[in-house]
Amino acid sequence: MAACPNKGEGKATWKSTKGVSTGVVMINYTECIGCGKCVVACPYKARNLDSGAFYTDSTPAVQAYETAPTWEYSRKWPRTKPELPIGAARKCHFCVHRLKEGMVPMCVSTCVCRANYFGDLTDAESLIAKMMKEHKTKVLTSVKSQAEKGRLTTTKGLSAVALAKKIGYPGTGPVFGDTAAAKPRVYYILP
Amino acid sequence: MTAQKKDEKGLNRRDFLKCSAVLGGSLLASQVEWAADLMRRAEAGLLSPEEAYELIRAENTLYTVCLQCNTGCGIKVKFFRQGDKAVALKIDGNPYNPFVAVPHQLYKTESHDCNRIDMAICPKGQTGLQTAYDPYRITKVIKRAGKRGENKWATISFDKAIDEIVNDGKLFANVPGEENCVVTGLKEIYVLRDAKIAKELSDGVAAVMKAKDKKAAVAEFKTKYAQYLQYMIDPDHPDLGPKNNQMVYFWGRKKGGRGDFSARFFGDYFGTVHTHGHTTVCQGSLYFACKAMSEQYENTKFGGGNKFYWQADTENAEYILSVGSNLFDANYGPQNRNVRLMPNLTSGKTKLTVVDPIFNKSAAKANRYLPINPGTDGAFFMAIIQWMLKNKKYDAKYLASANKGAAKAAGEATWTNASWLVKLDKDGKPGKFQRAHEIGFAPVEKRKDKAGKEYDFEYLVAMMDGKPVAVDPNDDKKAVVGDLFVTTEIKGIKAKSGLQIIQESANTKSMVDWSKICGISVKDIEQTAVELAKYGKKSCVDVHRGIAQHTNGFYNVTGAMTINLLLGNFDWKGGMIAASTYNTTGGKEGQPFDLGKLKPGKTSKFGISSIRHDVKYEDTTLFTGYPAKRNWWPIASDVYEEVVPSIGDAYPYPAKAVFSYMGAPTYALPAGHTNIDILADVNKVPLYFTTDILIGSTTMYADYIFPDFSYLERWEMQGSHPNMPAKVQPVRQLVISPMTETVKVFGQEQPCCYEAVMLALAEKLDMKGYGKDGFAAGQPFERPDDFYVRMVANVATDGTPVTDADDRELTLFLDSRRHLPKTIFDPERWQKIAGANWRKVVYVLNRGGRFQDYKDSYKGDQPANKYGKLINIYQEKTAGTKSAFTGKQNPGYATYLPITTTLGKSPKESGLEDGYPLHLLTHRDILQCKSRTVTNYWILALQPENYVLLNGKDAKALKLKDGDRVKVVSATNKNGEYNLTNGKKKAMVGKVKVTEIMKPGVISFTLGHGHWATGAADVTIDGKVIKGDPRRATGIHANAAMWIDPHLKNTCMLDPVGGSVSFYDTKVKLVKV
Repeated sequence: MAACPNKGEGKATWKSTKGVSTGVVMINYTECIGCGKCVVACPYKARNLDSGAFYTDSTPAVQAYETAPTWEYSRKWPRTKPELPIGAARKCHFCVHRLKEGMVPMCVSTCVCRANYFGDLTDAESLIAKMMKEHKTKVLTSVKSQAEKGRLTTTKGLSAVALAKKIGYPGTGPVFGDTAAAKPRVYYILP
Repeated sequence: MTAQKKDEKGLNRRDFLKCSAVLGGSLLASQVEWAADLMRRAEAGLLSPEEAYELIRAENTLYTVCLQCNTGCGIKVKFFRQGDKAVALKIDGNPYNPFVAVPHQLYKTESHDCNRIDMAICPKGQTGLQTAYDPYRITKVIKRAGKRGENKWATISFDKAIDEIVNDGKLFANVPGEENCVVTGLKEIYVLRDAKIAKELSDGVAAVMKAKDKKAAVAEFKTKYAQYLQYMIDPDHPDLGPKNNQMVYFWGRKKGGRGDFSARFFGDYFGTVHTHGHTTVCQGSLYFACKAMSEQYENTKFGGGNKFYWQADTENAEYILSVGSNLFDANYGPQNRNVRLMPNLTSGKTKLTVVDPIFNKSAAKANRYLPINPGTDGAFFMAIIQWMLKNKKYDAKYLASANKGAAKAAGEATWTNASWLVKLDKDGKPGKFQRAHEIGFAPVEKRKDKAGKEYDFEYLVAMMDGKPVAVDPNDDKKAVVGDLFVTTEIKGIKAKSGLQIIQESANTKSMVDWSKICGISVKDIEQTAVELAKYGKKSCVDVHRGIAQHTNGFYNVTGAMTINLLLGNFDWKGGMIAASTYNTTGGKEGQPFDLGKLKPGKTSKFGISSIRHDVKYEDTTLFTGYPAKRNWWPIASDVYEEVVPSIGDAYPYPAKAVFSYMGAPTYALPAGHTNIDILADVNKVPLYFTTDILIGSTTMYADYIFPDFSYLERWEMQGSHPNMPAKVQPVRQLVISPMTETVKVFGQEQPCCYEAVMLALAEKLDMKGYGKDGFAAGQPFERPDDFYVRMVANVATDGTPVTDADDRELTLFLDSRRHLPKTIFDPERWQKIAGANWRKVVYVLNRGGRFQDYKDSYKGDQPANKYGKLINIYQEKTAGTKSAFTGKQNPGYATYLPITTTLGKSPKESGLEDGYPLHLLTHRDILQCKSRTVTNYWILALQPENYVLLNGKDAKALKLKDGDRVKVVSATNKNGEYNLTNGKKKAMVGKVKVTEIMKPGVISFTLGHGHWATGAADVTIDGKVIKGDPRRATGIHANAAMWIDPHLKNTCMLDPVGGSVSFYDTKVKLVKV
């Protein structure tokens, strides 16, 4: 977020403090200029640039499910070139569109081992707060961004695909170091 | 904002948006304002329907069943609608279905209330819509326009293709070399059509099979049926049956419904016995060992066994010994068993020991991991049996219950023959059970069977306090509690009890010797045995294909299940349980459609199938001593590795036409490349037609491919799996619009598919049982739904019928299907078919099947759905069979057999091992399944290719490192490649991944990559080249390195008793490329 030249509430990216999206770092695709700086700076490799590619691009026919809309930040986004969010930075939005319907994020409902929990940390009655109270939890503190590691200092001239390759996204998982500028937000619950 | 990116037209994003806003007028002038407003309204819940999350609406959700692997999890498919079109965008788990939800939603919950409950589904399940929406799908019938496998095709009209297949002709006159080749049509094969004559001939053949003097019996047959001999394949061998048997049908992943559909066509009407499934490529010896254990004593002999197996009650077991069963990645399935197991593993309620040469994901969560030598599971089990018997850590009360009465008194639902006496031959070898009348008591009784036919009932014998007593296994009144360890001689007949035989088998080697064979220390074996015994009826030995897919698979499984019998855990909560399903075919009280009887003019199929199953070599006119040319299978069926090679050898007779469905033996089988040579040979396989959703790794060798439905477009009755305690019948149904061309059959417009092909053939061949009065007068059978809606009505009315859907549910039913065309969905027609049960049908379909409630799955300490019968610890039927290769008797009890070729020789003495130091395995990862999921780009993105996995020690010795490319080579595939014919080859080359999960000396690769078709190769259709997608050709598929049996020469090594193919016995070397 810090790296964004257009940051701030209602601008390209900001951390929400209101309503059901509280705590979620949001992106407003209509304000994002697609510079890719946040992608390089993100220590969690959580962001990427949408290059507008389709999986079925080089096949006999691009399929309708690829150009159908997605629902993000409470809006329907048809994925047809050159409409947004193609060209913009994208990241996990904790399924805000589901949260407001009273549903947990997709990654929680879809885990075949029921490994993850989601909820309001400040609400003592929430499942996650209870789980953290009952179990030993450890906060992962040490994540380094590609920029910090000096691998990428500029995004100039890099296409979304080239950037993704350099970042390793979608990739082989985060790389943990000893120091991190970013505030940790990943909790592991240990039995 | 200097960093603003300019697009190709020189506009930056803001300019572009402003521009399009003005032109299109669809966006607000101020983007920022608009977005902020949207956010605000979203938070306040004030979004318009246009902006809201449409995928959670009940009318945009349909419940069906996955088929990305055989688990068949319940899924909900969510749609985005535009006008009358709908595209599936998201697949999640169906909360009603216990394969994804634990506990699952109460069945009575209104389907409107489930739209916001998403259950977990594995990555393959989520990407399933890419199987349906695959750009490489075929939508029109194609016929080969080049040599078999050349991948040159031409589209052809459905009617013409059906006509060509039915009638004779020079069908491939345009192909060089086949100008004068006349292909026999189905009408020449479907010659015996008269049910009465078929019945007569069938009786005649049965007499020949029974006769001792075959020559005389054949002569008698030829005289008696002189006027019908033209129907027979070979009058000198009447037991081969009618010419109809030269139609061969084999399939891979087929479930109930479609299975019943084709059984009717090929079995009941076409009259061919040659219909074979793929069981032995999956876990055949597990099925057939359990079948042998489930054979029941009927009419003086054993029969009626279930082709099935048992698995652990995962949620309630307190100790699971998981051997060769890849929990977490596979094994019916992660979203069912993981969820039941994980909380218990974390809380410590359940202990898990994993035995596998690969440290798999379940090993990572286990209390103990034992890296066993591949193929020696039997030795490990025998060691455990030895320890349990020696230390008296077995359930003696259970084992001593010799019949139903005793079981009842002991509170058991099942019982065993552990105490029954088995007669010994002069060498002391056990054979048949002692019959009481043979030793002078309990004479033969005249009894009547269920059909009212009289038969002789012979009592069996057990010793009670040292005295012989008569045993009637199913007598639930007179309990017989037998002595367990007996060696005796009565009236000159030597005999031993079943358990005595097993003890002696377990004691043939010392604990140290067993330990040396399996590579697990005596201490580890004993600790495992101690723990198993400690948890008793809540202990399970849970096994799967890892132990079954060896040449000794049948006896490995018998060993594992024998331990379960010693534990007495069958039909106990936390013990071994069996699958239970709601009936689809009818015939039970209250069910409206008895599909078994709605078969006017049904014929009899008879004769030896060309894989020679359910028959003893010695009983046939083909018996010429040992070794037989190929195996005979009295215990197993659906022996997949036999289907194509038997056609290749024309043993016992040549095939004239082949139809295959959703099977890829060339890819799936070990040494599957041997099947390519045969399928590509028009002399061995004169006609080969198939249905497929694309040009697959086997169907590329077909003459005609009819486009089929993907699993999201079709009907099927998924059934259940053994670890599921609840009674279920998940129903796969139409959820997306069909993608195949519309054709006309019986005057009805319908999409081309598997069913339409059979209906059209039935129409063309003028078959009874189809058309206007297909089921009965006034009950037409002209479309798939004529069959399947009836089945759903049966499911809805099995036992206590389901409730009727109310108006609200009926409206939802219609609304959620409004995108389906009339060719497949016509509620008025369906209502007419279902009649009074229409609203029950709706109720079931709105929920994706029928599911017993979670709380009803158990009654006290036992499962509600019981197996509830005799389980054979000693298998008389098996002991009555001989190896067709060596003529030696097959043992009827748990024992350890080393890995051998069909002739009983070790691989080493057969010259297969020297120079090939590495043991090759293959395994499943959750991200791929068999030959069909490589088309799913979302999972392919996560794992673009697979690897040759090997241990660091081996890598060091071979000087290999991560990323090195190696070729897998064995003694029976020295070039390390698939020969695809027509000059094309696919090398078995993959990248090395060094990992400590592999036992040193053992290598593996995951199944699912290394394709040469399925959209991976260029094909020509109507002269136009369709480029293949290189992403589908990545990675390695090393099945062709697996050993070919030296005697059979065109087939992989195999388990000659249980039928399993040998997946895990081959030794290979790696050659750096």
